[in-house]
Amino acid sequence: MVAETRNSASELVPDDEELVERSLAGDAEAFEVLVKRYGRTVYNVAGRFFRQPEMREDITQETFLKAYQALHTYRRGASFERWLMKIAVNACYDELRRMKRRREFSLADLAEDERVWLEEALAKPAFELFEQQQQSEDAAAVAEKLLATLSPEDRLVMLLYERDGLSTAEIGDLMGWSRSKVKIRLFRARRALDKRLRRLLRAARPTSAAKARAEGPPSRRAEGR
Amino acid sequence: MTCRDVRRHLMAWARIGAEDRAEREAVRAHLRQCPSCEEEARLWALRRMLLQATRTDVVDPDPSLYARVSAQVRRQRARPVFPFWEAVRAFSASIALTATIVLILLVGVNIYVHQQIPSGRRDFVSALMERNFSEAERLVFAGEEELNQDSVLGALVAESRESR
Ligand SMILES: [Zn+2]
Repeated sequence: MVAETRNSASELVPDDEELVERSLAGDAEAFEVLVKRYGRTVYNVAGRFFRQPEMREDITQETFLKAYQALHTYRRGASFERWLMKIAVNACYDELRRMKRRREFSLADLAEDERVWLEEALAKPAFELFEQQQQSEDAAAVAEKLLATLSPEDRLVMLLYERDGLSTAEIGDLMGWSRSKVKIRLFRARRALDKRLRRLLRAARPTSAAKARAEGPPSRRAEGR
Repeated sequence: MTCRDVRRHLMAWARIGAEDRAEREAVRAHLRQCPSCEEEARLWALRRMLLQATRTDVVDPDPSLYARVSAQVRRQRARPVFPFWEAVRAFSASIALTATIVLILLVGVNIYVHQQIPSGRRDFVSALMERNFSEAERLVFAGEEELNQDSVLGALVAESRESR
């Protein structure tokens, strides 16, 4: 802006509120500072729901576009970052709703490696599974297929509550849902997911070969079942 | 440790992981000799493993993204926006939501009441029948944060009150 009377220090690092005001007054560069400041955060919020970089980029674009259009609704004194995060999570939710939902999920939908992963996991005592920390691409692929059968709401609450440990109040605040609605969704999401998992568990009763692999020393993974 | 205790711990572990050492050992001992809890534990452990596997590391986006986003916002500035239609769309969506919730509530209460009523739940049901929703809700949420059938029903009751 031309009529700038602030000292040089605050001009070097303008705070969010000031940047919002300048943007509303038509200063395009001010909004670009906000994009640079929070672009990474938004991109990683999208990463909570989507693995593909293109998808995360689309979500980031959409989030800032929506934020720009709704800038007049941002209230002074509130955290801009938090306000932006709500828009980002809702953009993810919209994308989940647009995605095609898988009708069914069975053992036959798993690739060979994924099936081997599952059988090896199930051959261990449940207690050990709780302790397991290592990340596995196969597990991620199985999870992806399983989650794709859930409704967008169920998927969202499963990830935010069960995986990321957010509270029902926090999710309600992010989504603009009442706490009751979050609880209902959670209950249904768990029931839906567990139903599919139970079916999977029944189908994937570990074979003796998988048991031997899990108990014995590590052996070749691609071994026939 | 009873099966009930074990399952309560497991439910929490599935979400936040196991922390307390003594608690872990007690659960482990129980699971060794209780096939039914072992079965349930396996399900929850699998759910946890799968959900945790979908976590991704925090990464930097492609550096060109910022410029692309800014360019798109600049293009948007030229176009007028019609918040009116957005409002119309949101309004009709909220009507549909309310109608669905009321329907679910009616069906749900009907099913619940026609099921056998466990002793100790009669207060809740009679409060519900007398349309004393605040009392029903109080009974349901009293000191209980876990998600069970009652808490969900209570949430449905609360939801129907909010949307009226
Ligand atoms: Zn037991």
